[in-house]
Amino acid sequence: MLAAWALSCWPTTTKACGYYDPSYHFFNLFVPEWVLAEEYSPTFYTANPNYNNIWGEQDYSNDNLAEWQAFFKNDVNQEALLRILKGGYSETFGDMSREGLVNIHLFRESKLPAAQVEAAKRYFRLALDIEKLADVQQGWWNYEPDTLSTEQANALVGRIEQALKQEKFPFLKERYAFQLIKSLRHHNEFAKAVEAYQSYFGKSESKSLIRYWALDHVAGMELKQGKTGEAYHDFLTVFKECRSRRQSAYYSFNITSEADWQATYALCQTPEDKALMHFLRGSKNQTLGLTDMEQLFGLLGNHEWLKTLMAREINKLESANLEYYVDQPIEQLFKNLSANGTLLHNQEQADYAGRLLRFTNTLYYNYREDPFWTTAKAYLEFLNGQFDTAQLTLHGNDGIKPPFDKVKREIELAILIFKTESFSPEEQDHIAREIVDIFEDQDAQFFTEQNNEEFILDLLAYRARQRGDQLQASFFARESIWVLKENPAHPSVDALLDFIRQPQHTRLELLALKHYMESNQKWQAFEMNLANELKEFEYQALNIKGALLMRDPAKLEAALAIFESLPGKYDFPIEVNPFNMAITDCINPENCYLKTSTAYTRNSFVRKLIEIRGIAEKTNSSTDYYLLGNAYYNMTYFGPAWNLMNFSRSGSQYAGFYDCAPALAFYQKAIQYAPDRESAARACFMAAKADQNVFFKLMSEKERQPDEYWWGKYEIFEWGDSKNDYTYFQQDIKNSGHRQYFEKLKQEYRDTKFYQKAIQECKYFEYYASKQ
Amino acid sequence: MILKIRVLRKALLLLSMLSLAGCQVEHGQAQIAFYYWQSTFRLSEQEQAVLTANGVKRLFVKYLDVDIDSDERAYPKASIRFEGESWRPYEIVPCVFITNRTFESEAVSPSGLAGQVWNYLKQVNDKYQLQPAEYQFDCDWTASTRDKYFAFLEQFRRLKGEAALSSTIRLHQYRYPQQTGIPPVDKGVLMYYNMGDIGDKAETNSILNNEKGQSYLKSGNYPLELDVALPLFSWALLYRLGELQAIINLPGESVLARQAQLEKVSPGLYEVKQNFYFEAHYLNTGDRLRFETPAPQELEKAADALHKIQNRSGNLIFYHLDDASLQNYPQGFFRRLAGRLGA
Repeated sequence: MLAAWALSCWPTTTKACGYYDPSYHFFNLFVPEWVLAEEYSPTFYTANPNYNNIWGEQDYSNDNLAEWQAFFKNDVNQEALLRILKGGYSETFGDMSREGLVNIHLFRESKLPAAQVEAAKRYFRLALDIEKLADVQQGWWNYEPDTLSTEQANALVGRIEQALKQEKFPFLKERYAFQLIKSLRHHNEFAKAVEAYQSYFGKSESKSLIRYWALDHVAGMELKQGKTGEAYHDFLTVFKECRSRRQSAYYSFNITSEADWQATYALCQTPEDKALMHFLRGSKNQTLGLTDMEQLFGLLGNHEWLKTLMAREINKLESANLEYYVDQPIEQLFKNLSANGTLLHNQEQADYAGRLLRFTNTLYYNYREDPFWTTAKAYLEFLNGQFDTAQLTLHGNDGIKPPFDKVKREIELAILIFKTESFSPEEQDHIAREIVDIFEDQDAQFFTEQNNEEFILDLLAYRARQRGDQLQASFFARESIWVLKENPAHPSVDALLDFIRQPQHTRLELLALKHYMESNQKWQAFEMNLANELKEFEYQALNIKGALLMRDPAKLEAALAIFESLPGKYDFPIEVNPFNMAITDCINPENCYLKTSTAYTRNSFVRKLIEIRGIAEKTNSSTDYYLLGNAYYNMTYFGPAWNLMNFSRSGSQYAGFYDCAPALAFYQKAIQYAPDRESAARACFMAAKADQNVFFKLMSEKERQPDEYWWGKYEIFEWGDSKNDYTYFQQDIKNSGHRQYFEKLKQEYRDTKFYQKAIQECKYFEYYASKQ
Repeated sequence: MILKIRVLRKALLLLSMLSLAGCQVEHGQAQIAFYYWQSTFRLSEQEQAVLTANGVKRLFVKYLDVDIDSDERAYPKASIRFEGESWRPYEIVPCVFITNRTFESEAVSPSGLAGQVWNYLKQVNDKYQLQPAEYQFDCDWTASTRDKYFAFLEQFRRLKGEAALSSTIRLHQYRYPQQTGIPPVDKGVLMYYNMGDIGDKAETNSILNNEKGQSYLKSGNYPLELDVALPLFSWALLYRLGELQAIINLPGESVLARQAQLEKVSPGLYEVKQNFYFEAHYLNTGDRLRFETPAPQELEKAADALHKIQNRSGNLIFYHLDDASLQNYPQGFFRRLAGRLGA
């Protein structure tokens, strides 16, 4: 429990390990980082209360390191110093103990006076001892807290007092004093701790960081003692004077009664202190900031805190109303607009936005030269649905220069899309330019650090859906061609081809298409090389079209014609021979015994398929039908040649082409025309495999939990202890009529050599033959 | 003056305690018990008087909550501290509230958690020399967490020895046992409260709404023996910008009525006219507060409705024991309810 306060002269940060989603930050078009200084970021820039708990970096965590570096005049090993202060792992020193670093590495080549080195070593050693002593893990599941015994705590305090008395360097003396105050606090010796603060820092004019860290502790103790006014005032001082404890002080400044507010207010000596109280209260997530903004304005006028609060109030409104992807789809936003005339989803929000706007008007007219208030006014008018007024406000101020012009252009862009159902080519060109420029999205990634660009794109997707243009709607909804590749359909592929082949495109269409096709070109280079880029897009779409046509054996000629029209790079060698069969399925060509030397490329293989199909149909050749069956089995999700008709393969669910019906149809003919019983048995077995996969396909499309029918479930070992469930599962297949070829094999071909081989190699057939 | 009133109150209390001492449950009425849901367990004189007057033998005391931290690991919070000895005469049933999200966490193993909770409860029992005859868990489990919660209960059952095991049953769980499952416990407690949507501005009383409640009771026979729990608490729901902002526990509506910064806009509904601090919350102009409490006549209707359900154990537990809430109900009221519910 005490580990955190012993040596820890640095703030601890909570870091989650996981994917960092920048849009988690907050939702906004009114980007505070664009219009305000970074001083209070991120604490005051996010409306999301979880932000600080999960992603928030402690403010200015290196300030402590900087003070140590100054004390050592930068004449120590910097990496060792960092490790000593912050713990953890470092490249050079690995897991070496911090004591070792103090003793060996920190001062190794230092020219600091010996007295200073020894004094610093003494401090670090004591601090590390304190940490060890205090590092009594408080098990959560222990009812009684694990703390130091009174004797241990007294000994600890005694050592610090002794060291403090003997220390000559003021820098270290202050740090011992800080350690003493903290130790006394955690030992519940509040009076002594406050006394120690008064004694060592009370009359000092030191503005050192450690003084305010100590004051932060004092404030915490005052709260426990019921001296709330003093406590909150001290937190206020820490916030004002010590940025590395600002966040801690901010969250501790949590006044809950009028009496405490007044007691704290009474201790404020300057208008700035009083204004700071309003700033802190007004910025709390659970507060509406307007009243405190009014007070703050009365005290300090047009101050940065006032703007920060206003930006925050606007961000809160945005988060509550425009955050489209949670439970307020863009459609709802347009409904609000037409029903209530505002973008805000209830009357209370609209009333509050109106009150904010009235206050902003005051600032706007008093500080016309300040672009913040122009953009804030226009943005609130925009939220209130007063689009024309917002545009007038923006046009009325010629002085909106970077960075404010970005907010201005963003508002204008949103208004244009809200007001216009169908865009002229000129408007489309304008929108495309603005998207690239405002959001600095030259790659048309459509994903920026903040979700303002996504919001604009979603507005465009909504407009496309309204026009019935599903293709462009999917472009703006940030889909990519991979979706089409995974699940192609003729109408979608044809629509994409038609779109690519349009004689003319607007810039907006091109931008969206570029994103959809996942082109890596920079926007400018893309525009310069447009004809070639579009041709390449066309080839990609045709390649999908060809693979799609291949799924139907009757359309192989059409597929081949497309493949042969593509540049050579679209043809590729085949790693396995798809005409070969396997009793047990094999997917990865690397590990697959179907991998035989073959000279086929995709195109030559399709030619061969056409040839064999022709022979089979002409001569009723069982062998050729069997080969066609193998090819059409192996090219599905279940075979090693899946990449002939698919662009990817999921390891956890059916995707792409997984229909074994064409293969089954060929196997049926192979059985029908079989010249001997061995050939018939072999084709019958393969028909049974294909039939089972048809069952899986049907069930995965029909059932609510397709995973239950994921391929592989017929492997008995997959069922673990649930052998009964496996029996039911097998019964299901049989009852649904997809076991007729196993039955045929069992009844009619039991005496064949192939039957004996299949029984040995195929566990599920063995199960069927023995149990059902 | 204040001292005189205090002395007088104490004397009256003592008198009433004496006159009610040894009160026994009448034949044909439910046995009354109370939940105690605060972290510091000490009984005030008034609370003791009410317990005596109602023949209460058992108190269901929340020992701890279980929730998950930012790493999704389960941990105990709001642990109980016993103070004084006023609670000694009563049989204590340790209760544990477990958030549903605890069982949603992949980092939580049901059997591991059962061991942790059991050890924790044992530590508390040892410290205060208690040997409970029953343990109760409170979790609003759903279809997705059912298996883990039930596995937790199964494991806890193995650890606890002879004591009985019970679980709270919410109305939707009572109504749809096929979907939500039956917890593997000896007994359930049907929680006949919290039946409305507190997020809905238009809701009239989310604590107790017999119309809604009775629609859940239609299911017929629940396959567990059931205690019944009725609410005694009240609160003000704070709405800001049209959305629920906070729940403020309040003993009665009069607290709202006397605030100068509040304007009553309709029965039970107040609007903030000027920012001010109230019950540790900073209220903002335009905020609305809706006071909700279970009215005595509604509690009587509830008892009548619950009288009809099958498999009742004959125990009536009030949620929860608290000086302020007790004052809202007339003397003898709890016994009347117990009579209407029946043994």
